Amino acid sequence: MQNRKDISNELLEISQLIAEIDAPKNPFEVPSGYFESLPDRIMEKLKTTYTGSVKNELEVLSPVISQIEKNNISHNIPENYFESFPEKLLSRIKADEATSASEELSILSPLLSQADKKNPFSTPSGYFNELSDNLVEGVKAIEFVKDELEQLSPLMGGLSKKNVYTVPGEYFDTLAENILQRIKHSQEKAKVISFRKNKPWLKYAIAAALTGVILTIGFFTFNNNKQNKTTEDPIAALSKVSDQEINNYLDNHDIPLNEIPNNNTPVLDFNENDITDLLADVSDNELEQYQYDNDQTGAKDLITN
Amino acid sequence: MANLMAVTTHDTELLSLFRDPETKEKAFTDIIKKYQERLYWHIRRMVIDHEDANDVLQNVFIRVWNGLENFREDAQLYTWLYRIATNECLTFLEQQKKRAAISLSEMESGLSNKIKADKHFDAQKLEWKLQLAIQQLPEKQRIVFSLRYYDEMPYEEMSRVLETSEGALKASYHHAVKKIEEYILNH
Repeated sequence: MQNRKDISNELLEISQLIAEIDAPKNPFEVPSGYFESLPDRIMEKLKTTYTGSVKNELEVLSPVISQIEKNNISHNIPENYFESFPEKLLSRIKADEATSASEELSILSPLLSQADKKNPFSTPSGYFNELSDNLVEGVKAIEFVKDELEQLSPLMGGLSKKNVYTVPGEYFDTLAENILQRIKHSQEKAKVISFRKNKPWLKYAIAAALTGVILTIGFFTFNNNKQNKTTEDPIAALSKVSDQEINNYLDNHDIPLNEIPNNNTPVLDFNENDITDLLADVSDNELEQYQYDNDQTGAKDLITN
Repeated sequence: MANLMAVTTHDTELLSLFRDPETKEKAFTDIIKKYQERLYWHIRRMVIDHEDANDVLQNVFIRVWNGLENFREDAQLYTWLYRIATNECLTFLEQQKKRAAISLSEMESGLSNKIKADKHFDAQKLEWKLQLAIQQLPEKQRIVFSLRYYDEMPYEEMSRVLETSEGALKASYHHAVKKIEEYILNH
């Protein structure tokens, strides 16, 4: 306590500013659990280094690995590799340092350097001796033919080998570029239309198929429309059918009344107002005519407009 | 320890014999014979393929031939050789990666494939799983694990070989072991 007081006073004498700092003296933080686990960590480190033997170190670090048999099993090496290595290396070094090709060869392969550098290939006897004479003869022959040609046909002889064809001025200058462009173009084209290129008839087939489909759809649609029209206006359609035809139909076709499901027959609930509405556009004359035509006994009940 | 001293003396002897033009080649051959297997396996564990290992091993010893004269004997010859071998491995793997224009992860799976392509490969055997597990590690960790696990190299030595602090190497090795164990347990 006293010691602390002395130190504080001492500090105050040296520097009032520092003595008066009101902050925790140690601003640093320590990871949580650091001190708790520190002894164990140090002991582990000591164990691995203290033993001094690599084997023990490994046993502590990983019992699993220390169990493994330590062989260089993965590696097969050629027979006598190590026996012959020093010699081979030395000769390689010497060969690198050789100042001439023959010296180099004698180092790398004494056998080869001793071998006779004689050419095993043979030439016809007297080949080289006669070669120059043969060459001269050959040249003479060529000249002879040329002379003969000139003599026999002055015209042909006179023909120069000048090219008679003409070529556009810049043809050769631009040829390379043109070819490249054509190649590029054809490659692009090929990329795009290679499919069609192989089967030119295919586009026609597709067009025909599409046309067929469209027509078929159109046909059905049209027919449907027709049918719809018929069902939409059966009265109009029926009016086209003459009375005689209807009578014929009724005579020839026995309509089984008993099949008509009475239960399901929708009953028209007519009242007087409905009839008035329904027949509103029918004139009295027409009604009377109707009555006369059909001679219906119930006509008396017919309501006239 | 005595053995180590003898080895050290022997190295010093070899070095002086190497420096003498009369005995240079003989000394060099002796150095190769002495270290070739250790270096070979260290390389082979990194590159997997024998032919690749052979290439790298030759490059290592060519560098030794060219550089041994200037070798300062403050470090062990062994350390120096391992350092060259490690660097040559990393250079080789880097070149392979560039040549194939593939990512590092593809590179690692490429080495795994080489392991799987071995005619004796058996995915069920622990020792093969270990090889595949090692390939899952980043390059540096692979080297650390290999040096410690196979060569039983002291951390002090390793720190000179890899020019990394001992602490970092220990942490790296511990991490590598845990990762390998996890792989083996899960496969």
